[in-house]
Amino acid sequence: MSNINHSSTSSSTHRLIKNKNGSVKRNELRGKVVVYSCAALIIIATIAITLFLTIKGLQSFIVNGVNVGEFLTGLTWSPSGEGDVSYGAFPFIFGSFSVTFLAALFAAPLGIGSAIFMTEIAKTWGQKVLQPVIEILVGIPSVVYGLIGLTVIVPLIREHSSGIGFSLLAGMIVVGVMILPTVTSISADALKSIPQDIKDASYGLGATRWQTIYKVILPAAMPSLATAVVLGMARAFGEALAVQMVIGNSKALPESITDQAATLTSIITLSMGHTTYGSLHNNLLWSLGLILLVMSYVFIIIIRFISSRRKV
Amino acid sequence: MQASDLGKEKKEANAVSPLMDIKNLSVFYGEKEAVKNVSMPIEGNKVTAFIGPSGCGKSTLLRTINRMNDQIDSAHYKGEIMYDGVNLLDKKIDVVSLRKEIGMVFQEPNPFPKPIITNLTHALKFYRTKKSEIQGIVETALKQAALWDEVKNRLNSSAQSLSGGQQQRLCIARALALKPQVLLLDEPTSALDPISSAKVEDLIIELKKHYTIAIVTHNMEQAARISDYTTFMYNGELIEYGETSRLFTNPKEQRTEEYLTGKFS
Ligand SMILES: Nc1ncnc2c1ncn2[C@@H]1O[C@H](COP(=O)(O)OP(=O)(O)O)[C@@H](O)[C@H]1O
Ligand SMILES: [Mg+2]
Repeated sequence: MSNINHSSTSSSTHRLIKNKNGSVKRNELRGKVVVYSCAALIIIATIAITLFLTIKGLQSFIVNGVNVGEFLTGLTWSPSGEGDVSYGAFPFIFGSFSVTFLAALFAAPLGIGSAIFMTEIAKTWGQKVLQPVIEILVGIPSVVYGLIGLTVIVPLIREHSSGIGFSLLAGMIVVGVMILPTVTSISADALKSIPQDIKDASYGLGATRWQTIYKVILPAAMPSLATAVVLGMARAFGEALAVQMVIGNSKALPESITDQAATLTSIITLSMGHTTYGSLHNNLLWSLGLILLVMSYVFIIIIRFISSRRKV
Repeated sequence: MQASDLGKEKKEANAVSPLMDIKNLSVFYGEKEAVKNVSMPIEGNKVTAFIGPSGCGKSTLLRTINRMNDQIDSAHYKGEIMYDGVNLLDKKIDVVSLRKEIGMVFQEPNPFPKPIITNLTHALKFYRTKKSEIQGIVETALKQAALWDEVKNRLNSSAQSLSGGQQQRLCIARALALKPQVLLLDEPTSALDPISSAKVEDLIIELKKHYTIAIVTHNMEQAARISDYTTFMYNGELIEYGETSRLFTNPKEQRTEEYLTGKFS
């Protein structure tokens, strides 16, 4: 009774020493190989896309001799003409940035507001009704947002302005509505992760709900809320289809918010099919794509920067 | 002549009626009755300890006194907590003023992730305290919480840079800054090391000169050391209430004795 099992474990030298050629070790190795190759694949894909886009995007400058300054600041875009070609992409850069910022301006307060409502004001209702609704909204394809924009927002703007309806404003509203659920759900997660502890501390000191929200919950969640908005902006910047359907795609710089405009993405999707591979026009579109890539890196750096500050 | 009569009457009234009187209090979370028909006094300027096994309803009882349980949707209650002539459980009670007057310190130190000084001024700003007074209030509260000497040169550094014990004393100072009448402490030392715990205990004994203190504790020795009255709870019921010295040496109820001697926990 007393020496149960002792015989099998008698030599502790064998028992505790690493087993060199067991099947356990082989399984371990197999798992490692699978996981490492998955990770390697993702890294290789990222590097490959970046390299490819960089090389293709720089062709117009290197091969076709396009002036970078002119490309970034020029106002006229007619890259496929026979005689005089001009390749000013500034209107599109401007269009992309204004759609992004205006959409964020629209989505940030609404999204954070609804997130507060969901997590702090009407918890049960928010969790049972609002949360699923928002998850559905996140999953709706952008073409649906574009269609709704086309049939509702564009006519509405047409009636209330001198323009034809297709406009920067329409793009901003459609993209704003589109990123709203993203901003809301990430913000709600951020607010939910604020520990009950410090909310209790605030209520325990006699703070009202609003005082607690303004003075404790929002400041504590600020870095994550900023991340939510930046992620929304990244999505807005890259959105092509819905924008293209409502923005009008004019190649000139818009003079007002109800003017037609174009974005980097909408120009690429509209023109890519009509160009021959390797032509100046085609190369210029790749350069526009390169700008998009650079911007997505910038967004990632911003998000990294914000979340590294959160740990302090 | 008349004035002294009045004074006498007031003294006698104080002698018979405690600062707070809990009457037939039951607290529910949905269907579950977490506190069952508890009646007991809380005497002014004394320390009243609540002991009992985990889950017996100590925190629930404490959190009902300053209505922190209003925060929980499923929580509701029956009975009365009489304090200064009003029932604290009355719908008409302004919980903001109530919580200012009856402060609370929680089990885990929960300073705001902000500078030390902001932790103290945070709530003062809600009550529109004058700027000129704030500095003095901060200093007094930190001194009362025996933290002033340790933090006076770093009031602007983050509260999270403090040790656990210092954070807990900061939370006590934060409550004291509102000049409360009563302090509710829910296992204030259970997350602290022995040395920090001892400091907080000393502080509680010091504070009872000016405040009425109700403390939940897991630690029977602690209750014996610092409290004047002890309540033993079990399974939501109040089993025994009495002077600490008597309850610990000569418990009337068998379950109290069993708990005190470690027959169950
Ligand atoms: N928010 C809550 N919702 C539902 N039940 C709760 C809640 N808080 C506590 N309880 C239950 O109420 C009982 C008493 O809990 P509590 O007052 O925290 O006990 P103690 O502080 O003595 O350990 C426990 O059974 C616990 O599970
Ligand atoms: Mg408890």
